[in-house]
Amino acid sequence: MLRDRADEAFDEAALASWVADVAHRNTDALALLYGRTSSRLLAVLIRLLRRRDLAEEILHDVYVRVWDRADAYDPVKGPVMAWLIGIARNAALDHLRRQRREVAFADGPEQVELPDLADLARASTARLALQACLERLEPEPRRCVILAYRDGLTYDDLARRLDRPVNTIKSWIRRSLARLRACLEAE
Amino acid sequence: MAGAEDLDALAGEYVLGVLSHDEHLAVQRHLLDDPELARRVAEWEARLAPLADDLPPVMPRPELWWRLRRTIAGRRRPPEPRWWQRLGFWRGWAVAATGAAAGLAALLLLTPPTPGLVAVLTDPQGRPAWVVRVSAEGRGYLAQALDIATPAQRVPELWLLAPGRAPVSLGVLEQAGPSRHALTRPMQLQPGATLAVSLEPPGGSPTGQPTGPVVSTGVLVRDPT
Repeated sequence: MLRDRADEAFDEAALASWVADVAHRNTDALALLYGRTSSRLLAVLIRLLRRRDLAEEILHDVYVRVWDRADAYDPVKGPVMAWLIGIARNAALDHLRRQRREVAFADGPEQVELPDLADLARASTARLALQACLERLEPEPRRCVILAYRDGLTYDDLARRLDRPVNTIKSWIRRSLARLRACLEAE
Repeated sequence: MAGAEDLDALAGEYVLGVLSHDEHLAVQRHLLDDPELARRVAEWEARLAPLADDLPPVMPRPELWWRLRRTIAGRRRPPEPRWWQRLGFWRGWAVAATGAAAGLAALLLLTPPTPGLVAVLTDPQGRPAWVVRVSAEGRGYLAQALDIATPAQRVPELWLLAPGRAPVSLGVLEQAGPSRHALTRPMQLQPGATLAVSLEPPGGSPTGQPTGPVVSTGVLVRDPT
């Protein structure tokens, strides 16, 4: 565990130094950052957009944005990977909102069950901490949080998918967010 | 009354992506110049990002990297706004000054989506001197003096500088506090138009054209708020 933490800290320091170099227009640093992070961002984008070609288009735009705005990254606000995933998810959510997306979820794979502990054996310490807090939520609200984050479902989508009133979904999510935050801050 | 908890819930909902289209866009607009909201959004991004760990990585096609290389090779970095050009600075300052942050979450969602125009006028040394906000309908503007010193017996007058035409007076500005001005005739106040402030005798230019020195200029842009 200690060794894992040290590796994670080392990785994070490398990512942060590459972002700092990208801010000085160093294309080698961009290559390193891209090499280390693009396959994870592509997985996030494919999951949200359900189309690989579109996901790669947006992945390109995400790194152009990283190139332009690397100086806006502030290590105090969070790890590099969270910043990158935030940019990628925003780009995908904007795209989904632009093209009304009624059809998008009809044929998507349904893989929203939490991975069991075997799958989390090599999970990061942050993932394990989040897992512990997610497990304290009721199953349905937990499912909503994960569906929204990973699959880009809005309140309306969730209400339809779970066949529940929108207000029920809203109160589940808001309560879950407050509880997650309290739980993670207590860690 | 919306409080810190509501603002935090809104930030979390925004990051999850559950809000309606209009609400999502409203939060996005306000992120540009609300540092407190931006901070909470970044916190939620960091809290939830580990959920992405469970997705098996997918290697992009190799061509994508080379395409990215070509894109950035032909790209100049957009000019970095100086701190005083970032509206967030003025916004944050105004919010802090009035202590109005509490009602912010509710306010965000009520702000009409039609943006107006805004210009930060700077002196020849690049220091900010005036912020001018034009209403969305173009019927009036609000001018706020920043840190300026005007010589005695002179008043600041605002002008619209249109290419190929004589300057058009938009009125004499107040040096203390914000001043609101109506525009009685239609003006070509569009993004990209240049505004200037000259020093004139009390009451404004006697000739209808700038007679004193131009002390600050700025260009109108769409108000991102």
